Amino acid sequence: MPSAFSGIDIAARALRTFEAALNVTGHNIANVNTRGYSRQRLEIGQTPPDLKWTLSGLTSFGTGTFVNGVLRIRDIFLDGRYLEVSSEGSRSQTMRNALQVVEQILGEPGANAVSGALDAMFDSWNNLAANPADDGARFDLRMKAATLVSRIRDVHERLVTQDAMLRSQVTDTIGQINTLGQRIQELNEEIRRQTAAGADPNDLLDQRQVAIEDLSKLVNLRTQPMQDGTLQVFIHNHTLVGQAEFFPLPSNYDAATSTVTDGVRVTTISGGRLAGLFGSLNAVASYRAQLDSFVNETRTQINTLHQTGINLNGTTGIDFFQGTNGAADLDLSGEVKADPRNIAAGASGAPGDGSVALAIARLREQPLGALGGRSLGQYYADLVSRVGQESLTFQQKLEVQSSLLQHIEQQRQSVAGVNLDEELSNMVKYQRAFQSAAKVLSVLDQTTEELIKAFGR
Amino acid sequence: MRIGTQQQYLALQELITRAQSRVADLQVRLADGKRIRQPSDDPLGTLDVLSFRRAKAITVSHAANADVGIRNMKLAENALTGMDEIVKRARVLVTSGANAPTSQDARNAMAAEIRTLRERLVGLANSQDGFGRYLFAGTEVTTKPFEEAGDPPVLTYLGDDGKLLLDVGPGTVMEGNLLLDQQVIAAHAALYDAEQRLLSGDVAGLSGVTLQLLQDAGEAVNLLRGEVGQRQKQFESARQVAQRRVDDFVKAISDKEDADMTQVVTDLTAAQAAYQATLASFAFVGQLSLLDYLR
Repeated sequence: MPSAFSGIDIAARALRTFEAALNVTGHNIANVNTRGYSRQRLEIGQTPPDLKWTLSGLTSFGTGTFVNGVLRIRDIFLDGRYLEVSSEGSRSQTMRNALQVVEQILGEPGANAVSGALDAMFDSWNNLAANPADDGARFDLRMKAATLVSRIRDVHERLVTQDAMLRSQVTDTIGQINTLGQRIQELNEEIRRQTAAGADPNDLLDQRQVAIEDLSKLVNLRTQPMQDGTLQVFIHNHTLVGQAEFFPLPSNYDAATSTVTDGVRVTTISGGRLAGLFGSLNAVASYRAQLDSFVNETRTQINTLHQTGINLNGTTGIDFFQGTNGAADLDLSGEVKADPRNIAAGASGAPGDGSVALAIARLREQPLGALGGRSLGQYYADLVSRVGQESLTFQQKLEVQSSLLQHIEQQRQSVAGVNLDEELSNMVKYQRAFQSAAKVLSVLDQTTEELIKAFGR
Repeated sequence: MRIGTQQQYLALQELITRAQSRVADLQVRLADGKRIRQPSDDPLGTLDVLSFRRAKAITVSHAANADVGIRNMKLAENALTGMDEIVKRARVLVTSGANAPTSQDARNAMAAEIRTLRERLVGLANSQDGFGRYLFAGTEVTTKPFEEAGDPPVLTYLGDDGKLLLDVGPGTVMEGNLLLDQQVIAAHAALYDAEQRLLSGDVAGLSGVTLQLLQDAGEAVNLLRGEVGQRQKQFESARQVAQRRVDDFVKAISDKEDADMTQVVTDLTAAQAAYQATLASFAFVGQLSLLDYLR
């Protein structure tokens, strides 16, 4: 038979176990709104039975319960999917944001954008062709052309600013990646230490998971869990976090190839915000090149025709536009700025000759070989439409990825999230168990007291 | 399926955000009436809008060019009508002067009137538009095109044969000015001939050569009037066509760019109802807790 006091031990262990269970429940409730928190469950086990010889032979007497550990409830597969989709979603979000800015810069199809200014300038050339001796038509043309120059330069300068902002964000993002890598390394160290001591570093694992998820939003990554509880983190061929060391991501980058390099090894960036920034830089560079082609062709075509004309001051060979370097230095020529009578409307120099102005006005519809057989207006409209199409594509990708991410998060929360009603019911369950254990202790106490009284008489 | 409390609230917040965003988007659409506010709203539609706007601008230019042509033809018609009246009056005078009973004094008076008519002819040939540009000088529009000099007076043309070409439709080019130097010089010569024969009392010459010269000059002027009338009609026709095309482009642009307001209002009503339902759902779900049933 077990000792009379063993029941008290059983009740005491039960009290301690249910108190621990209430603590775990309280911890879960306290962290109901903590980002990345995984609900915990107290693993309650039976203590080894007490074997005693009785009249019927060897009999096993239960000895109660003990705390077997605190389990962190998590689905590793869903975490992996989350990282993957989160990385792609962040890339799409970054691209979408950058392209929306480009759309705002272009300002199309608004009335005050480049395409409208281009049409207005050609309207003025046409007006001059019909009224070549009219000084007002020349002033109007000079003003409309200056407006076009202003709009183009504004788009160019804002694209340059956008490029600089994106480059600044690349530097910031690489800095954030390295900060998170350092943080993960520190958490790895602490997790290794606690694991080695036999503890359950559940909250540290949650914190590391949050850091990993934040990192996945910045860059494509791959993780490798190790036996000692640490997690290695790789970005393509770069080990960001090793088993015991942190290796910063190099800050030298080439947006065109979406790579970073330390001078020896080239690491491809294919996901996350960093990939989105590289993609945005490439897109902006491409739009700037297309704008430059449009400007160069506009300048060349108009200047070529304008040079053949003779203006009202009797001079010929004058450029209408000046500059050589795309949109960056586009301007009206000094002669045209100085005197609108320097605009050559005709080939003969006669005040009523509008033949050159007419030829320039007709450029508006003329297919140009350098622009792939498109007219100037069509080429610019294609640029606008391309920006819109790419922006829309990333918006649609983002919607799909957001929806998918939400679905995965729902599944993850279904496993790992705290449900208050569930915790409250657990609390009642453990409270009742605690009360019952206390009652057992009380009854055993009374029994013992009865025995003591009986023997004491 | 097990639901995490945090996820429950996050999902509701997401639904509220989406509903708010949808309502806000439709409110902006209702306010500015635009379906396409940025290229990504409809990239191909944006391309169409820009293409239609370009086509509309070109067509408006065609209409403006046609207006220039109509204006120039009307001015030319006025001048030619004056020239025709001059030649007709000269023929009346010459016919009268060719009658034998007419006295020489009367013929001298007629010759004086013919000289005045000749001066008026030169004046009409040097007509200017409202901006001081000569109508019949070719492209030398700031140079007075007809100068009479010498004795006997010779009318010299100082303009050129430059044409004002106007695009009035796709691939349609019309001349927006009129060259009449030969006709004016011929009429001038006929008038001078009439004046001289009246002064000299050359009755036979008046009824023969002079009347023929005046008839030829009159026919030439009338031919020009016919041509001007024809061109004016063509310009007016081109203008009407251009205006119709502009109207078509305006409609096409509106179809692509503008929002269907009835649809927007309907969508907004539906979006507001969805938003209210989402808020009500949040309030209802937020009230439910086991806590309320525990003592």
